[in-house]
Amino acid sequence: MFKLAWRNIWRHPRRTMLTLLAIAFAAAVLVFFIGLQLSSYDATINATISVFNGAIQVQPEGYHDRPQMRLTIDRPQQVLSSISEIPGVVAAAPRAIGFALLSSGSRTYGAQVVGVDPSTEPKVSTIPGLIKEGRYFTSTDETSFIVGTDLAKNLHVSVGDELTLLGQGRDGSMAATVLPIVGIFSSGSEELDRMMVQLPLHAFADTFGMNGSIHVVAVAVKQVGDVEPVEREIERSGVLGDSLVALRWDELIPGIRQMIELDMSSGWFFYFTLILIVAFSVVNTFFMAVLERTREFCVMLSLGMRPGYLCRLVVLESVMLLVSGLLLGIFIGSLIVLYFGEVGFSVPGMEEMARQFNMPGSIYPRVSFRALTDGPSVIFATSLIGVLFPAARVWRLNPTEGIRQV
Amino acid sequence: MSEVQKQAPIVCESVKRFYQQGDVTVKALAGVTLTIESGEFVSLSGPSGSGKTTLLNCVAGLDIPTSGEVYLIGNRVSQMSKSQLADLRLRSVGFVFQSYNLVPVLSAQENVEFVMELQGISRTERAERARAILQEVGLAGMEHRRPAELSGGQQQRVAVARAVASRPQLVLADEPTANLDSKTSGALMDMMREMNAEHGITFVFSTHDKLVMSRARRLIKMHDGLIESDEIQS
Amino acid sequence: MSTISPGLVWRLSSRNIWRNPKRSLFTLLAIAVGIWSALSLSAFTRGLNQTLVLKAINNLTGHVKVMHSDYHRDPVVQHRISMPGDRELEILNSVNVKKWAARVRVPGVIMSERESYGVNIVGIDPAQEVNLSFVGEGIAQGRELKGPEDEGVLVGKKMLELLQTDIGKRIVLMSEGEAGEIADRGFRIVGVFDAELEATERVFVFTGRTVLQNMLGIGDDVSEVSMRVVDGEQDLVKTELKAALPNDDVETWETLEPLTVAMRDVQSGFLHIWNIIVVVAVGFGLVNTMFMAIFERTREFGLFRAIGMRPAMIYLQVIGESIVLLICGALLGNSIGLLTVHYFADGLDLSRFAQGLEHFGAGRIVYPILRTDDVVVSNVTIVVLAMLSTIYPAWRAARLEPVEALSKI
Repeated sequence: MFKLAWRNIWRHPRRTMLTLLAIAFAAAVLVFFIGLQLSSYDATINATISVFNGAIQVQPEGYHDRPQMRLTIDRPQQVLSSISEIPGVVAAAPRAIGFALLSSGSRTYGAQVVGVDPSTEPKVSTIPGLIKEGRYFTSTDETSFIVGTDLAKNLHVSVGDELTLLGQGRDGSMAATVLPIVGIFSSGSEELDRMMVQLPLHAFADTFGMNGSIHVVAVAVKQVGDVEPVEREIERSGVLGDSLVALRWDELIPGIRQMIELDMSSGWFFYFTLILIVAFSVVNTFFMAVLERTREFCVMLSLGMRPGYLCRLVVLESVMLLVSGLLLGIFIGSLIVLYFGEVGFSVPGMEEMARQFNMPGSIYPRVSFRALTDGPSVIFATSLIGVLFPAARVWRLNPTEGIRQV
Repeated sequence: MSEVQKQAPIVCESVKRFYQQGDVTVKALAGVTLTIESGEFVSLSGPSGSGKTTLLNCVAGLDIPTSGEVYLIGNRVSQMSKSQLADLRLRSVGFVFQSYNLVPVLSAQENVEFVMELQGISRTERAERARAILQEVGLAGMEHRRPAELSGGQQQRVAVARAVASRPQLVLADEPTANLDSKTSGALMDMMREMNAEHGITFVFSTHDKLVMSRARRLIKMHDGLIESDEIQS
Repeated sequence: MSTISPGLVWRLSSRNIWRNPKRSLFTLLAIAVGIWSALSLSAFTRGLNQTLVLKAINNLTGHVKVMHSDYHRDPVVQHRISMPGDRELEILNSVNVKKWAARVRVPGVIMSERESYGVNIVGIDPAQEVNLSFVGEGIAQGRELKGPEDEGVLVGKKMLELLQTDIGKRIVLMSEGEAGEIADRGFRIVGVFDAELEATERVFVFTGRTVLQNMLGIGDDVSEVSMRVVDGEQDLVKTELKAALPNDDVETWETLEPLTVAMRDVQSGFLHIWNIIVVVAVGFGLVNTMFMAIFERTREFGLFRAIGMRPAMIYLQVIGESIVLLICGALLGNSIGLLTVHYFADGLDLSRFAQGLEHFGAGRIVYPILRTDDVVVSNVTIVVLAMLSTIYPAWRAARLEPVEALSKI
């Protein structure tokens, strides 16, 4: 039956080639575009997680909605050590966060002030590695700032200059200090570069009167897939108690996940129209194939062949055509993905957009199982449903009628 | 051969047509010399593969002889371009084929008008001539039927009507009665003879059919690409 | 002479389509889906983009803005301009400008008893902001500012929440003064505004313009003059203002909001890519259909040639058939496209993705916009390119050898 089906397909080489190419084209388009989308999501998620946020954050309950100085994690050592032991966790970094006015003498700007642990921070955030001028903190008891590049520009300061910090401490009292700048970072995220200044945790504690407590523990995991198991494990370990919560990156920044979902759903709407166009072409081909073979089928039926066999033959032919087309499309699509994976894919305007949304300026798509299978499987299913119509026609054939017909 | 003779509808001078089929050379026409005069009513018969259809195709300029010369209404076919030939056929030659003669999407009358329309004849004249000729072939009242709504015999009548409507000098018919029963064939032949007698149109048709042969005035028999016999019947 | 009779070509082309209605229908549907897809994609993309542009313009940008030449790069109090003088007022009050407002706008800090946050402190004349920016659209709670001398403060809903304070409570606004000193002053919150984007509610704090001018010690100077202009006149207004104010910076929103422009470009890029993809997919289907149509009509074409029809007419007949299919498909596709846009004319509610849209700075309700040029471009690309794709089958049909064609069943 396989051999028969295969030969039948190639009775009209040109028609078969055209249908096959149409299927392959659609499959290649979907493989490439879905690959592009998935890779850009991965890149966005990775950038969001790795630059500063971390994959999971442990925070006091309510802190995320309203970050207040007085909502704190009071026994940070205990939380840090038990999270670090969970499998899949790369590191857990303590942070204290406040808001203050920074003044350079000629300029004053408000900024987010983050106290970090210079030894664990580099394992959770890429900012320590993105110092553009000067250096990162070299010891935990250093008293100095690193500043975002845009903030430094606005304040008219460079490495070596001093900044005056003026804010409110944990207890509502005045917090003030003057520290030198040792480094300027350029994270690629406009918000961080414009808004953030970091200093070692103990210097932060001294300035804001933290008494050893912190606000957030940022957790880095080995890969994106570890996020949920690690979160469950943190919750199970009991270290959170009543006052702390563990939040995943997509809970911290729900906008990104929704943006991805919106992009994916609107993408699929248009992919589906493409699939419909191609499915029409496939169904058309098989209607023709059935029509021109009416006489032949009728002869076979009169000879005693079962209608079921003929139906299966037609369906098998379409499956063969579809699978060949899809394989060709997957192959071509992968080649396109690999090509752009090397050189990067970009359309005008993407660079500017990327900086704002923490996305890479060019997308370097990668071949992934989902990208290779999602589109082609929908093409397969849609076309196969369509082909059932011509197949049903074979089922209903009346042998005497058909012989007269042609 | 005189110039007057070359003005005859068909003149063939040792026409040969060979086909290459794999390693074998098929001699479809092995050297045919033939003149058909104006107003003749000629039957071309012989077994399958004797060269009837090839001869008709060569005469019509649809096929090009391997050697020899064909003169169609005084024109040397081998020296004409494809589009000159197309124009010559359009103006001077009518065709009737064995089947699939008509354009299925056009009505009987539109099919008859078809060639005239290509000739650029005005709409009113076309319609008038088409209606007249359809009446002549006995299809009055069926002008607006599509070919699928006509019987085989009726379809061939429309085909003959189309072939003669443009007032050609010559009508070539390739087995026009092959798909018809004997009664219908007889009627079609009578009709073509009438056209021949009344309009002076030269008819050449290939056939297997004894009945058709019996009604021809000149009977040419072919065998293996050669003319076997050529006789005038009373 | 054989003529190419257009009437006959048309009759054959249009009737041949109904020879195999199912096949023609599928092809027609494929074309229609293609055009529908291209039209709805452009309508929704333009709609989404429009929300971005409106948001950007509403967000105190306006169509055109006048600023100190260094203000855009470094928006501090020192980079300010004087209130519009006679020459500027002549332009600002001309028919081309619908609304204008002069504002003081400086970076600063808002402090409640408990919390402090970085904000943009904006001093406004509330009457000027009506129909110009979001703050002129009314407020959610409390009262609006009454005039440039109003000493009350308007904050966003989100900011009120962050500050853990309420209407009627006092806050402190702090900024850099004219001489570089810290200027601060206590204010009372009188109203709360509700913006669609949370970022807007967090970033802006409003008070009376004269009050802020006094606090900063800048006399009657302002930071910016922003305006909304008659459609299509923004470049003209910009040129006029630039001539009147050679030392100041006059910019259109396209320069001030490069991100919105960049997103528009990216979206346009993807629209074009999608048009091409649809063309190729439709082209495959159409070429295939035309080949099938020619294949089953081989004998007929042989007959035509035998009778003496010129190849050109056969060629035109096949092209004609594909044109009829394309035009019918295009009509159907455009109708469905228009219906789709009409159906969503009241807006497509994307609240489910609200935070995702906010990430982009887009509103949650998208009103599809069908631009004439998009419709023309989509139709022309798809119809013309698909028609070109049938040249090959038509050429093949015209080139058929009559003898061979006649011998086919």
